[in-house]
Amino acid sequence: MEMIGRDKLLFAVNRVLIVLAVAAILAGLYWNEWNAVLNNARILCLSCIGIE
Amino acid sequence: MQRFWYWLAKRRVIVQVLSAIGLNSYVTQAVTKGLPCPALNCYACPAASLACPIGSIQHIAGARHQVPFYVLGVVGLIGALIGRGSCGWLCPFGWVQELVYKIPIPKLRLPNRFNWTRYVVLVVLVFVIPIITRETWFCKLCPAGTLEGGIPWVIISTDIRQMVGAFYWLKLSILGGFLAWMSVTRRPFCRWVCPLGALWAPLNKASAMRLSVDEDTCIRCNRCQEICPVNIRVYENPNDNACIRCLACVRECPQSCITVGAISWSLETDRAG
Repeated sequence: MEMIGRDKLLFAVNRVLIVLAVAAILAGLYWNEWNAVLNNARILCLSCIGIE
Repeated sequence: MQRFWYWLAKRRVIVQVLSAIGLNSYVTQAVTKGLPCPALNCYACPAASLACPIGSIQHIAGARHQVPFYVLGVVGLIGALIGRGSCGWLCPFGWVQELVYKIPIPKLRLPNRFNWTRYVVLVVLVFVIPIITRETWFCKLCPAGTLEGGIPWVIISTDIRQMVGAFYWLKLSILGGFLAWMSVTRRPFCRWVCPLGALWAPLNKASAMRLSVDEDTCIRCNRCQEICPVNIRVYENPNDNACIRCLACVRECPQSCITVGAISWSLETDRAG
């Protein structure tokens, strides 16, 4: 019985996590983070390649 | 359904090859680099088609001083669905570690006792120092960036070759150190350093994809630990936060008592997978 209770808790946590993640994605897109990520990724990251 | 997982587990290397090619397929990068990559794949790689989530988090949190909702949401959604499954199936740097480990030299089996260090790397190098200094400090030290971005750019660009200085050699020596460690220990970067793995690790327990062990059938032969790339005794905790969901244990278990299933409201459905 205790195992089944723990499973139900994990199931609920999983669904809450999915809802929070989707909400965060939508909030980020609303605040134009797509462009921030895109523009940052398109510029060559000199730190990543070891050039100061 | 278990037959499918067994079939898939035997073909994991094909998925890893396809993932490495797909994540670095070049042609779509003008548009798709706005999408965070479901693995640690450097966006400085000349052919990278997606954005590195750790680099993007550092840029948005550090340089822009904003909460990276979108990137954390994508990472969180992947974690909520498959936990650290991306580490075992999609990460090109994880695959490199597995290839280097195949070098036939004496091996060193290390316990998972100090794997909390990856959380320190996540907090200090991805959030705290970048927020203070406005510099992407994890990227500066990341060996995956050296391998996927630094070395290819120095080979293909004469301009960048002329800019190489002491910092490049420092990055190269960090990569060299990790390559040496990878040759004797399984997946050391994933286990002790990777901040993306640190973001996904706590989600293993509550992810939709789950492993379970039939305790009545398990004979505790430790075959699962022998073949596990992150040294877990699967029968003790099938959804351990170190597990990268590679399913090697599912494939190799002599009793076939490890099963893959989806999280569900009732235990019975979970076991049925």
